Amino acid sequence: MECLVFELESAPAPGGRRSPVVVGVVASGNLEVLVEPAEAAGRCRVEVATTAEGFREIWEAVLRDFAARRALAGLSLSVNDAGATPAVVGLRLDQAVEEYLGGA
Amino acid sequence: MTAHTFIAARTSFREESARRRLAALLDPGSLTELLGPAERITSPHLATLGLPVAFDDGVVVAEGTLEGAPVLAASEEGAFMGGAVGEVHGAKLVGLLRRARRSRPGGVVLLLDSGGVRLQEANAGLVAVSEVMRAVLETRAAGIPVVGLIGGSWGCFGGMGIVARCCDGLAASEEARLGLSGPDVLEATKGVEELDASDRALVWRTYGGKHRWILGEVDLLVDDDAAAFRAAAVELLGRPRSLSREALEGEQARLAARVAVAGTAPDAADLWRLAGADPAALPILEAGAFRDAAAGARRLLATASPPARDPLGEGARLEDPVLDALFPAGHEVREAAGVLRGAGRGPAGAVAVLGSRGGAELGVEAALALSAEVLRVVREHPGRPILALVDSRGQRMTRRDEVLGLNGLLGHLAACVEAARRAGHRVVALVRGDAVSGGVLPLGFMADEVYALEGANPWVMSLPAMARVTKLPIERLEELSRTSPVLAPGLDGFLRLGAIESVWRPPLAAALAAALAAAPGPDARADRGRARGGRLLAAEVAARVAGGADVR
Repeated sequence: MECLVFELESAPAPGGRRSPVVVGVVASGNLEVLVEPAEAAGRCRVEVATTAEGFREIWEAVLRDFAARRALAGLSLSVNDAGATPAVVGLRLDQAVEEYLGGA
Repeated sequence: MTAHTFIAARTSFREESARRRLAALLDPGSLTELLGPAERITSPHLATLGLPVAFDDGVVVAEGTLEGAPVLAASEEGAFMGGAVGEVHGAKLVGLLRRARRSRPGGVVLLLDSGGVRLQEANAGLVAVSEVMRAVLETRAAGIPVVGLIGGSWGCFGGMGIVARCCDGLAASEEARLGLSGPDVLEATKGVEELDASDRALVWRTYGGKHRWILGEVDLLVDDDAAAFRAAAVELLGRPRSLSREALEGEQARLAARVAVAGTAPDAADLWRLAGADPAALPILEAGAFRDAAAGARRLLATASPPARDPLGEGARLEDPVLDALFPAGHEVREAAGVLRGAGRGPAGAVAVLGSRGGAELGVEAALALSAEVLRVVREHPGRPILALVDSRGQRMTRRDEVLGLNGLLGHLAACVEAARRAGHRVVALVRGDAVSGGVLPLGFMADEVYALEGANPWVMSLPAMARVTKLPIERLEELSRTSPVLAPGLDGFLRLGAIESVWRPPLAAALAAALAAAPGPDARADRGRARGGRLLAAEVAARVAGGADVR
């Protein structure tokens, strides 16, 4: 297992604090993403626990792209990953944030 | 796209995640998760092994409403570790059932999708499953119905297959599977001749919803559709099964008749033919047409006359130094095919003795004999204490036992033990040899209290087998098992987990007298496991989900 932590700059997430949301399942090639409100202004904190070691750069690229596309500041994301591909990771992150924001 | 529009478009239970399945079952917007993922109560044992964890440990427990009535509900995630039960997962279920005894909702709905004990936390998983089993029966005995819905992709196997049949009622889809020793386990243990796990038709006619409905193991066969499961849950909650001795004697007769009528069938197809149904036509029918075509077979199995004779035979009087030491004033215990039945003379009166010996594996005949004996003691000797002697290498693993619904027979045995406890019989278990899985869950671990003799060997699986399952080097497992009570087979681990109260030393008669004199109380195993440092989370997790102290 490898634990990675990222602090991403992003536009402020719309709306106020909401209840935490989890999407996805920790199964081979899949992951779960927990979205919660956080205090950090102007940033989004992402914690990743992954079974696939040595992929920090790919995670960083996927997450930077995600933070640039979406308004995530003020959110905290926690990921349990069981070896998902970057494409699956991207889809789950989008799904998680959309569900958190209430189908925006 | 919200969760609700997603579910409205796709209502398959089988294809949904546990969380969405639960949301689709309850009234829209009514679901309030208890100890949700943001609490991050994950498995410490998986983390130790370097395996991924899930924020909810593979089970969602919640409050909500069903057709406006308050219910509690749980939903297992089969995609995470096969929905298998570890310390946290099990404690959440126990806490939910305890909460039900406090808040008295209209019922508890369990969406079961589990392979049974989580082998990566083997010992803790086995104990947790036994605690769930006791909690289901205690909740039912408190007058709150508990029903199970089996519609996930994994099915319901191992100890959870027994738990399922401790419920008031079950609904399953045709695609769902229910049993004790699953197809992969059977093939791995007994060879491909016993059961070819890659033969899907064979697997489904053995474990699938249709066969389980014909057997009477499942009450309602429903389409793989959230609305159908929802209606089934409402119907089942409205017709709880009594845990009275009379009701259990009716069930005993029905199960004995099933084994008598269909006991010669090595395959489910033979059983269907024996019951008058056409095994060639049934598998392809839709649920509705199937119910019409197979109703006669189901009725025949449910209404056949039970056999007059004991299938195990009376057996022979057992000469046994342990029994001599337990009952210096004498005993009359008979053994038939490894099953013990009889009584000993204790200082305060007769003590019923039952259980297994010589590592006997419990198959359908043994299960029936033991449940019949518990019911006989309750009927003929009100209040007589019961000593369950445990020495079993687990459930018998054959295709025939699975075809006949061994998980259901063991669930019935557990229900009979609960009924005995409720009727004022003190039940004490003594592990004197092996104590494994289905050989200890429905009788030994259902007792008020569990003790052991020096040299007893409770276990789930050997370290080499665990090395194969976890894909960890055996040297690493040996090292871990020196400090963790969760992995290593044997008595020490189960003592530290709180599953076994203490080891009896001579004089055994005095130890038995003291155990029988103790007052029954709520299941203390998780608290004891915390006090002994073997299970640091179970008691706290259960208490947090329950929202307060236990109510008996």
